[in-house]
Amino acid sequence: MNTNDLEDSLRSLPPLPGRPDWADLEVRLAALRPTRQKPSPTLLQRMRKHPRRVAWVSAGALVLTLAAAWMGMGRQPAVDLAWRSAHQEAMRSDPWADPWVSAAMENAP
Amino acid sequence: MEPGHDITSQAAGAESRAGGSSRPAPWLPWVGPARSGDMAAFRSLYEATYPGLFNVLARLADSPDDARETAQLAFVKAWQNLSELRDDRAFSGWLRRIAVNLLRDRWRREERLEEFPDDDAPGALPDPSPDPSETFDRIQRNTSLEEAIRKLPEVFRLPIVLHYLDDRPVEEVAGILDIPRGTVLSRLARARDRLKRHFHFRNRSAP
Repeated sequence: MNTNDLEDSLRSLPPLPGRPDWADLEVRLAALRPTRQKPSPTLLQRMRKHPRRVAWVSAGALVLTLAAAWMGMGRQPAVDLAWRSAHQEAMRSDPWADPWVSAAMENAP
Repeated sequence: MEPGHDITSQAAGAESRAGGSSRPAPWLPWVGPARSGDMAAFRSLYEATYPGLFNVLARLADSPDDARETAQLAFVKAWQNLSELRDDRAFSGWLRRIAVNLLRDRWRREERLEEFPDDDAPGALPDPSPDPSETFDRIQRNTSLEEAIRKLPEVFRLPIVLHYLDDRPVEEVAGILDIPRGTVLSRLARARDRLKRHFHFRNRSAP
């Protein structure tokens, strides 16, 4: 066999058939993509997802707020109580020390 | 070597020098969109270029399954590195380079690839004749050219397959294999010589 014959024989070899397998390749390519983690749902999204639970929690919070306000209305602040008791104590020990009494005495005819 | 490096200019240059640009390339319109991430275009590109790549790999890999697997891996790498390809016309050669590098990596791991064969040293090449332990029947069976090609060492089989069976010009084969043009010519000559001697031996051995 000379060189030309060999080259002709090589060039005339029939191609070996191969069938593309896109489904397999697609799976491989999909595996390459970075798996993005879903961001955790926001508070608003979670509230939308559970409306009944949100309603119960809101109602409870409202009741507690109203109860606290109601109880707060009947109670005097500690500072006020401290001033009042100090004033009453001072009046008991020296009635004339009351600035109102002193002023009245000074302005009396 | 990382696939995709240097091949663009080399392969494009080789194609233009050797008239490769006249090679029909029905897949050419899909390269640009595929590079932009268009999966449908990449699918078209894959289906158009797969048969040619498989034809090469089937002659180089150990088995059809091995060729199929290498082809799929080559396309995965092509998809990953397509942005590095600057000349769309070079896609076909670039793809072969990726596939050949995958095969070479495996051969290196298996210590089958002789990195720097001394082509000019007369005694450096393996004996082209069949192994002495092979029986006469086995020699008779291995008569086809396909089998003779398959018996070539990888360094000779690569240029033979790319140049003659895949119809790549010598310059492009040099770009794909990342070796000088002279080395390609030398290996082609050596490979032809080995094939001729194989058939000469076969004819002499035949009863």
